[in-house]
Amino acid sequence: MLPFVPLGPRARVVAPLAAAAACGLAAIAGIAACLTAPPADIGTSTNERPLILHTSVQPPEGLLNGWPPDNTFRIPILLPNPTANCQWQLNDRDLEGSTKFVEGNYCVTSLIDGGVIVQEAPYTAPNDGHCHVITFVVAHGFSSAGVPDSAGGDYSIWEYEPPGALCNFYDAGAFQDGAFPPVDSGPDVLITPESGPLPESGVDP
Amino acid sequence: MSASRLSALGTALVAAACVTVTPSARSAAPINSCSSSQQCQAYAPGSASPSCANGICVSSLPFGNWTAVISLSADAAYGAGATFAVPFSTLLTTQGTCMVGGGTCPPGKRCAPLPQLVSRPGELIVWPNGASPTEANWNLGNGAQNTVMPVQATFRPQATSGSSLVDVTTIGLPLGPVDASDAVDTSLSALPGPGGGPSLFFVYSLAQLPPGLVFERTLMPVAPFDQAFPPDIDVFDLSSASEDVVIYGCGPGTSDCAPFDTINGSNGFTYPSFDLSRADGQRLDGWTAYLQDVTTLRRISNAMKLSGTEANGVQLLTSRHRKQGDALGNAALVMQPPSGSSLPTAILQAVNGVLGTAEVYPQLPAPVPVSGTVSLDLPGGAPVAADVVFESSSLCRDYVSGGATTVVLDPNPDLTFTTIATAANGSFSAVLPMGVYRATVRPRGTTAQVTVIPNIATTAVLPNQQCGAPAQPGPLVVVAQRTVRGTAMVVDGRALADATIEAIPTACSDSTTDQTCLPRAGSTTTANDGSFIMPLDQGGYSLRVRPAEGTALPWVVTPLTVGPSDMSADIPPVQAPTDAGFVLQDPVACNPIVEALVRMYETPAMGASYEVGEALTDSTGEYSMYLAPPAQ
Repeated sequence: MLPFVPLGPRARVVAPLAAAAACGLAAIAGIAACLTAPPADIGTSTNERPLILHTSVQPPEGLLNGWPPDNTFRIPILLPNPTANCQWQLNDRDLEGSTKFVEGNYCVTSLIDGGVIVQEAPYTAPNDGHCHVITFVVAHGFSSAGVPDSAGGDYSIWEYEPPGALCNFYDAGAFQDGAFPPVDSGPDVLITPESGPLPESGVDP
Repeated sequence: MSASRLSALGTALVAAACVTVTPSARSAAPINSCSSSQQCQAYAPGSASPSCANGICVSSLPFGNWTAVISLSADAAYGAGATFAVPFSTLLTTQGTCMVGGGTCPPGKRCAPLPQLVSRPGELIVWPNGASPTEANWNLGNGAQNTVMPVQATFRPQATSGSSLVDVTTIGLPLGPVDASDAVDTSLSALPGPGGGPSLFFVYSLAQLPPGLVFERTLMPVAPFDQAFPPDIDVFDLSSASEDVVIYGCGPGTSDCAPFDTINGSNGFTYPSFDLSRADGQRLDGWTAYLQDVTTLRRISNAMKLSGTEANGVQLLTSRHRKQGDALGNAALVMQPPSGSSLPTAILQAVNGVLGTAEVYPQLPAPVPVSGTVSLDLPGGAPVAADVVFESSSLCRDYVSGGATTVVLDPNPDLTFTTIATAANGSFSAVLPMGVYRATVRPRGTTAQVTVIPNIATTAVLPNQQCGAPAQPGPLVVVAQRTVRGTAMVVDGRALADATIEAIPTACSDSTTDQTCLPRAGSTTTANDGSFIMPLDQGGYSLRVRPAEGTALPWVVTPLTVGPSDMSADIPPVQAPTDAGFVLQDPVACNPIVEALVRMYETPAMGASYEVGEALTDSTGEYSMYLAPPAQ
């Protein structure tokens, strides 16, 4: 049997602290050891922005090589937090008309943490002969039509050029005719600010 | 605080930390999981007892007749952006054959290489002495020198239907056309392009097709050469290792040449040639004439611009499937008015390969400005924002008989007119040729359903099908969407909560399958008891039940027809699945195929294919997919 050695005053202060520290460590170790159980949901996660795997989108983003044969756009989406809210919208901008909301819904559910879901967005090809820009938006939520909330979102965009149509998807020129130069600016002409009318005649110089 | 109290607190903390953590109720979806085969007996469909494998109950039934459609990532190291169609049986027979670097495959996994991708250049050469400029009436600017024609090369997967070929999309496989890319190269023939310009080759990268499917290759000359030179359309053989060179204008009997097709006219074999005019004597400026295939509705000839009051000797050449049949076989002559015109397009079908050498566009009564409203069939008739598609079924035209001219509804569908009128606020207006139409109302919201209304007339119809005074279509009345209810269950009795229910349109309410009148797709999620409610348009659907991802339960696909009343859908219970997962490898270096979209299609012996599973490969090239075994 070990002889009893009384603790000094300093030791009497340190010992409870050491015991408390040991118990704290034991508690932490216990918690760590118990993490084999399914993790609790983290309600305050800030990682709630869904992300599109752009290179795996079908059909590939950009100018469509024909409409999807089964009238369905497939967008793989990475959900860092699968329990977070996730919504999507499909919009169609007719270059000769207005933007139309096609469909929107909550994302398909997943039981896989940090998994990738494949969201399908069905849409039949417009048959008006017009050029169209199709936009898929996925977000934690929408603050207004098609605009993701502060958690952020992601986009996929396709341009549809129907057979026989000539579409200017990128032209921001004054005439929006795809020309620069010569029509938008004229050949070999420096672009200068326009002069105002003459003060007295009211005629352009 | 005493040491004993602190110690007790620490113990309590440890104890508290070790209380079982219960996850919040994220989903009530049933999960297919097991620790022994005994637990899988509840799934047993008939005599086939499922067994527990890797913690999941799987069926012992044989695999289905599946085809995997695999779309590779746009930045993949192998086959970037390519789509492969591989029978599941091929994956099974080729598993373990990728042997580069020792053929590594994770233990317990099935690994299979994708088929080889074929990548080759090709070109279309025009021989001036055979096809140009004298026969094709186009000076290529190179004197008598052979010239490389700039073309758009398109490869369309085809299936055999009877004695003809059809796009595989018509049998349900989502294999769209593959375009070749342009390249400037001198490695092939070193011939100049038109006017001494650069020699533009096309380069294609194609995946082998499953047995029974072939590619149809279309080489369409780019504008303006497509006014004189027809597209070359032929069945394409990937097994040939040589470069893809097609030569226009050689004499018959030369194997690698493509002489234009001829018709067997009264003066022997000749090229199709027409004298075109309008019965009202108006000019043809801005009109276009070409031949189109009656089945595919695709252009098969040069597209000749017309002008003047008479366009004589309009030569429309074809080169289809290398002289198999008459040039006008299964073809129609199209006279197309300028874009934006309110005149209908004339589509004149050849009868037994015969078309008149002189074709006159008929005289028509003046088009009718029409206007109307779209409203709900409820008291008050609220206006409905919609697009209205007018498709002519029969149009009025002058008919001369015995010196007398009458205006009649043409029973032959030679004249067609389609336009879309927008009714943003429930009111629309349009200018329509006088006749009878099928109107399809496509609402912009979900308050009303897609509605097909036949026999909308812009003329008074008199006895003997004579056309009378102009008429207005009247209000177009639509009804609300129908409500479809149902309950999805697992075969072991559990409710299929949190599943996605999708209605995929397959047929219009009038049983046609035109894109314009197809009902809209629907989607919803099941409640905790497996029930769902979904508003749908009338028409035919494929109803798809997709259990939540990660549950290892298979999809269920069943046909659904929505009639004029609300209804309940009968959904077969979800069975124990078969494991169709694989690790995909590239066939060159056996590297994993990462982030590829894998869609599995059931390909029945009769009827169209349909999708039964979908997954994305992970960083190891593996996809997990649990599919319903074929119906017993």
